[in-house]
Parts: sequence; C-alpha cells; structure tokens
Amino acid sequence: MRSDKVNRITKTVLAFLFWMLVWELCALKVGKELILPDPFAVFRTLGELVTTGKFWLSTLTTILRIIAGYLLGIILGILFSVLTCTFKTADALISPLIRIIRATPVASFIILALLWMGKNYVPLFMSLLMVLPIVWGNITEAYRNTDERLIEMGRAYSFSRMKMFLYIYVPSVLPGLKAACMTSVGLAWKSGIAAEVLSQPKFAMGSQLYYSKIYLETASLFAWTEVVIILSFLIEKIFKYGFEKLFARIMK
Amino acid sequence: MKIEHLSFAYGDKIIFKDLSLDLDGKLYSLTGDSGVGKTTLLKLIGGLLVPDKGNITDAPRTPSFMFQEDRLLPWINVRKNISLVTDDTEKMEELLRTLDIDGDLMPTELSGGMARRVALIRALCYRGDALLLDEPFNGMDEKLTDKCIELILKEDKFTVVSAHQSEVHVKLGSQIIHL
Repeated sequence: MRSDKVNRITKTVLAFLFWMLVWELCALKVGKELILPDPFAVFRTLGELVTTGKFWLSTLTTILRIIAGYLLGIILGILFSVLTCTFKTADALISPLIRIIRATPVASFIILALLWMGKNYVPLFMSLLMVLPIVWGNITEAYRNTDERLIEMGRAYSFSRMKMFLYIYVPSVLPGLKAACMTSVGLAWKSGIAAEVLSQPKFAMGSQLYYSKIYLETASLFAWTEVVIILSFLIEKIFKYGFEKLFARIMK
Repeated sequence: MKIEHLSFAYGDKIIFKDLSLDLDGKLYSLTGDSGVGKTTLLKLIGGLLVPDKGNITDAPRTPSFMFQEDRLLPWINVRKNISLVTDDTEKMEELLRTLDIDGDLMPTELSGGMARRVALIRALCYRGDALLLDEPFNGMDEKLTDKCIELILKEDKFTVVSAHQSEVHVKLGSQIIHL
C-alpha cells in the first residue's frame, strides 16, 4: 500500500520533470522570452508575484467570487429542479430556458452580462450559469428515475407528502446532486476566470492574465496561468473531499 | 367484500374480464399460474390499481400491503424502515425478536429470506384493517414459514395471501381462490 503511494508520487514527479525539460528545450529552441519564456523565468516571476499584496487580493477575490457563483448555482439548480418536478407549468417554462443556457456560448453570455451588470458580478454570474444546468439536469433526471416501486410502497403505507419527500425522493436524487456538485467545480472555476479576463474587474486573477497579455509580460502570463491551474486543482480536491464527507453524512 | 363484474387490463393485455367474487370470509389464498393476475388482484383489492370496469364493495380502507418485492428503503436501517409505518415500537421490537432480525442492519445486508421477514414485520406493524400479502414466504424455510403463519393468524384480520407453495394454504386454513 505504502510502496504504491511512493510509486505514484515518483511517477508524478518524473512526469513533471519530463514536461519541465520539454518546456525548457522548447524555450531554448524558440529563444524569445516574449513568445515562450523558460520555466525558471516563470517561476522567478511567480516568486516575485507572491510577495505582492495585489497577488493575494486578486487571488482571494477571485476565489470568493467563483465560490459564491458556484454555491448560488447549486442553490438555484436545486430550486429550479424542485419547481420543474412539482409543477408542470414550471417544467414547461424552465426546461427550454435551461436548454438555451446550455446551447449558448460562454463568450456570448459574458458579453451580455457585461451589458446587464457591473463587471465585478460577471464572473460570479458566469460560474452560476455553468453550474445551474448541471445541477438542474442531474436532480430532475434522478427525480424522474425514482424507483416507482418505492413510490407505490409509500402510497400503500399512506406516507405523508413530507415523508415521501424526505425518505424516498431526497435519497433518490442525492447521488445525482453529488455528481453534479463534483463535476461542476472545475467548470465554474474555468468559466469564472474566462469571465474575469473579458470583464476585467479591479482585483481578479483573470484581469491580471489580461494585463500580462496587454503589456506583453509573457512570463507573468505563464505565472498567473500556473496559479490558476494549481488553485483549480486544489479547489476541486477540497470540494470533492468536502462533498464526499457531506453526502456520506446526509445519506446516513 | 364483494368483487362485481371486474375488468382490468394493462394496455392491450387483458388480466380480468367480468370477474365476480364473494369474499365474505376472513382468510383467502390466491392460487394460479404465474402471470394470471394474483398480484394485480391484490393491488385492486388494496386500491393501488383502479378497475377498468366493475367495482369492489366493502374493500379494506387501509390495508397492510406486502409486495412481491421487499421494497425496503435501502438508505435506512431495518428498524427505521418499519418505524416509518408505525409508532408501536413495542410490537416492532417483539416481532423483530420473534423472527430473529437485527433491527440495526441495513436492507443491503439482509439475505432474501431476512428481507421478506422484515417486509412482513412492516406489514404486521402497520395499523391496517386487512393484510394483503404477495408471496410472503419466499426464501423462508419451513420453520420460519410456520412462525410467520402463526403471526399472520394472530393478527385476526381480513387476509388475502398469494403464495405458490400449496402446503401454505393448508396451514393457513384459508379458502382458496384459483384464478
């Protein structure tokens, strides 16, 4: 078991070193830091960035903004799904709306959102918009696939509406909700950053990416991208761990 | 209870056509080939299905239903499954002891026979005015079947049992309805 873990870590480190080497060789071959800076220059820039207040303020604001959008997306997804499953009229109204949201390109929504709201809210709105259809879809499908035999059992034993909801429907949809929450974390993060790049709020990682591009600071662009990737990885891990624990507890 | 000119079909598949029965006794057994409509008749009596034609007079108002499948909620333990249909914890604990079931087990941890016993306990604990039992003794050995029959008889309620074991009907002392 332990040697398995050591093997896995060794493999990851070796793969990392391999790609660093590939990167370094490519940078040497290109020979222009403006197009492809070498890994050392990028890490040096990253080292400089983390000592500035702007870095921490931008990072923290981005994290808070995207998490807020993500959680709101989950809440609204649940709410829309409950309405869809409860009222036929709501189903007729909400289902096409969600289909439109799914089909619309992210960039179109970002531009529209820029017209509708302050630029500080666009990333939050975009994260929300990416999460909502996934949560809605998973819950609605799970609700519709609830075991008919259990529903009949509930009817036979005169279960109240509340009992039906708590003991039959909620446990039936929980796995779908869990899957939706877990798969949409990464999506919320990426779409939130993309929205920041286009809307450029004052303190935001996406804005820093945009400024790096504008001022041709390619090393800084790479450094910020690295931070985005590392945070994406960490946030996904933390949320997945948190949801595993939370849902295990609810299911008990 | 009286069944008069009852007809029922699942789509094009006719199950009953103009069925009339007088059930003025207390214990009945349904027999017949597989697919003949034993489960459907139990559901019609229990009000879970509505006849296409005809009617059932003096049908039980709140029957305790034991389905062909156990239909236990897999996410809560045996004790919680039963207590969802009854407040009589004393009776529940007594039946669990009698039928040798650990109430803390999850439904996924039960064998087929154990799950049948839990489903039977749930039906017996429910405050129903009748027992409608669909294949209640599946997966049980003779000793357990006898114990369950004893418990069913002790309830002294209007009971309809569908079971494929012919000896069960003799032990129940029920009137047989062959479909």
